[in-house]
Amino acid sequence: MNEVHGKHSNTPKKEEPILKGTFVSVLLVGVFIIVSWVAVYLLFILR
Amino acid sequence: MHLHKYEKKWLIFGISSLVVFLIILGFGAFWQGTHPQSHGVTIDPENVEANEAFRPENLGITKIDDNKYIVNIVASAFNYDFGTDENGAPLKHIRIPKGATVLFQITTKDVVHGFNIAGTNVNMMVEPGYVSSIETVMDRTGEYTVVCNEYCGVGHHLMFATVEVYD
Amino acid sequence: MGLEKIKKVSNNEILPLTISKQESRLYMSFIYVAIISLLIGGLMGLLQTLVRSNTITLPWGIGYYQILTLHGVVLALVLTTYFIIGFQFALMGKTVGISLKQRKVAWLSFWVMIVGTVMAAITILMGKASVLYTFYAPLKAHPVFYIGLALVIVGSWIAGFVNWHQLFVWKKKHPGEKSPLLAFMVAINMAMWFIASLGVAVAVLVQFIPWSLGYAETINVLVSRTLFWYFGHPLVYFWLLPAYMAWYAIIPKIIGGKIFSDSLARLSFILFLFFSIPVGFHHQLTEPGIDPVWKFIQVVLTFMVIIPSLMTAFSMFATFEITGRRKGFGGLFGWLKHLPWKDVRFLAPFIGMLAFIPGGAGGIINASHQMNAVVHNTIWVTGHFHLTVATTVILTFFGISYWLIPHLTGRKLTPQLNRLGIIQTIVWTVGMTIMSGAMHIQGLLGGPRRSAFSEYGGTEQASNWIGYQVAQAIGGSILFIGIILMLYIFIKLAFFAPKGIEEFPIAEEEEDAEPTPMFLENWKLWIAITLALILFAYTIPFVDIIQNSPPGSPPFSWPIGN
Repeated sequence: MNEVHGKHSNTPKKEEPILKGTFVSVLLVGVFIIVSWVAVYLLFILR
Repeated sequence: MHLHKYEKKWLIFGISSLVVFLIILGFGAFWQGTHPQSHGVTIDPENVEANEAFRPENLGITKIDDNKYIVNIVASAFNYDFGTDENGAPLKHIRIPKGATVLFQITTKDVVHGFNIAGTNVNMMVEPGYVSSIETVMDRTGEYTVVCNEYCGVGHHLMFATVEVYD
Repeated sequence: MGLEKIKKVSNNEILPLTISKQESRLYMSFIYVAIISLLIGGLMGLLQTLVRSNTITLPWGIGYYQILTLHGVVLALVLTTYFIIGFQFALMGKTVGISLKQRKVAWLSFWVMIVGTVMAAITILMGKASVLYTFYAPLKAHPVFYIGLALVIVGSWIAGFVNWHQLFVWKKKHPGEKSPLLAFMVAINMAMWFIASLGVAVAVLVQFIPWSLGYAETINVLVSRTLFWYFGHPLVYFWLLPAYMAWYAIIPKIIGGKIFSDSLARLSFILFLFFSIPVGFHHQLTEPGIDPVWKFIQVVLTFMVIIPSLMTAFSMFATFEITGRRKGFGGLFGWLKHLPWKDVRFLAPFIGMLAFIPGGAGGIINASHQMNAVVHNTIWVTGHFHLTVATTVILTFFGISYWLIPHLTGRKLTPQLNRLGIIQTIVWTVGMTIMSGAMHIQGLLGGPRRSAFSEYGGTEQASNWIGYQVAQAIGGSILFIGIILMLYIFIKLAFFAPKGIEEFPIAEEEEDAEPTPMFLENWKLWIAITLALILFAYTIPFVDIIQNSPPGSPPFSWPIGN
């Protein structure tokens, strides 16, 4: 699916860059969103 | 278009979270009936008394059953009309026993107002031509400030009332 | 492949084009209006916090809601629109070029907008339009207010038409080539803006103007609000997308890196085009008369518009990490060290990115259907948008100004001005953290927004709110210092900084970047899907509103002091 048409190459597919730090960073953002959402949801339920 | 494996995981995680939020919200709204206020009853803003709930004698708090009450209010710039007491003085403070189920019904004679029992989920827009309505259980004691939280003119910040939930 | 590359370089069409002096004058005109707006609007904000903290009363019969109207209109409508259009013209000028004729029409857009702005401003200053920037019916302002706003919108359309024409001409000259990334993004943003502002234009032209002139006796309030919010939500994406343009296509150059993914950047903008508009009901969740099922459907669509921002977050971190690792910074977060923290052209937009984490999280909460009742019309909402537009967008715009203004005026960003910019950014961050933080908390405690100082009859709740209003005054005062600093920096960069050449940083793709599928240039399909989504989200509930409408409302001017 990622091959460029017509390219007959013996070289391996381009290596994916190392994005471990990115992954952890966005997961932290996701956790922040989830925690803040749940906090206000609980506020709503308890009111 | 190539997605990095971590981007795939991130988007799956993110979108799944959003789906979970929507399911929780949808379940609450459609099955438990906690949609935000969306009352559809219309009214003539120049003749609100034509609707029985807003006749002067029906304004304010009325007990309709054991632990069930109705509060009818007419909003205008810059006042909440809860009716009058026995001496004819306008009521600005209503008292509700803890645990009571209360139906708030409110309309406006002029511009858009807000009706928010501060610190509770009773938070509605009040628009000319419509009756806003919400039923809630008042399960926390305390004195609540009723604020108009939708700008209605120069006296907007002076438009308030109080609701006391007592033991 | 190699031959193609040489051809492109010698053609001098891939490289950023040169901006002529005449072009500079045009682009700078928009930016002058933006900076004047910053001063006026910011001063109003300061006065508001001083009134609400019971520190001052306004002199000379000035009304609180009058200055609040000025604050909202001048900052959220004038500052933003002018800066964005000026910035976008500069981006187009640098990537696809502008012809003499296009430049003349662009000047027309500027003057139409100026006439409209002045008209609206006069009515507000005369106290005849204290209706706040949302101008909800049936509060009635002077007709000239609405006519002025209509002219600003129409002027912005003229700018959009020029931008599309600029891209159209470029595409004719470059058949089969993908459009330059920034030009693509500008075209998307103006398409979104045009489609969205049709709603407010209809409300203003068909409803408000005849009604305020006395030709129509009543106005359909719910219809006017629905048309406004059909516009009002995409309005915030009109503000956000130019910041994203800088993040995707300019910041990588500033940090010494490349574009992470040209395709994904374009895809995110296409998703914004689709999902920014059919979602206005999430601003009307507590209103009567709107079918709750359709409110929920638009909430679902709103959640879709979160996705391109999730993509953007990944792209930004990835850009930073790839660049850092290439420079030799390893480890999980080592790449943070390489970022040019002392370069204000990076620092200011980066703080903007950080602010979007709580800003976006708050936005998701606001749109969460029944949860909206916790925050609607409380000052939490004000705290939210001071993070998103007044930090994320504005700090990015400030960050852009540090290189855009000297580039256009033939001067240089000096190390001294850079350092002052860093201080300005920190001042802004401190002030906004205090002010927006206090707003969020006071809002959760039920404190209302858009309200002058009041003790609400002496209730305990109201006395609890006052402390937060004092905190907002402290934060607001610090922010105002930030505004004065920015004004000083701007004047230096525009008129007094040493002459020189300031780089216009445009990021490039990686050498071996995956080719962008031409499928993404499918403009007709994207517009068709956008319109289909709008028709889906709005037709049935809108017809329902009209069919079940109560009697309309006559105008009310006395509540606003007329």
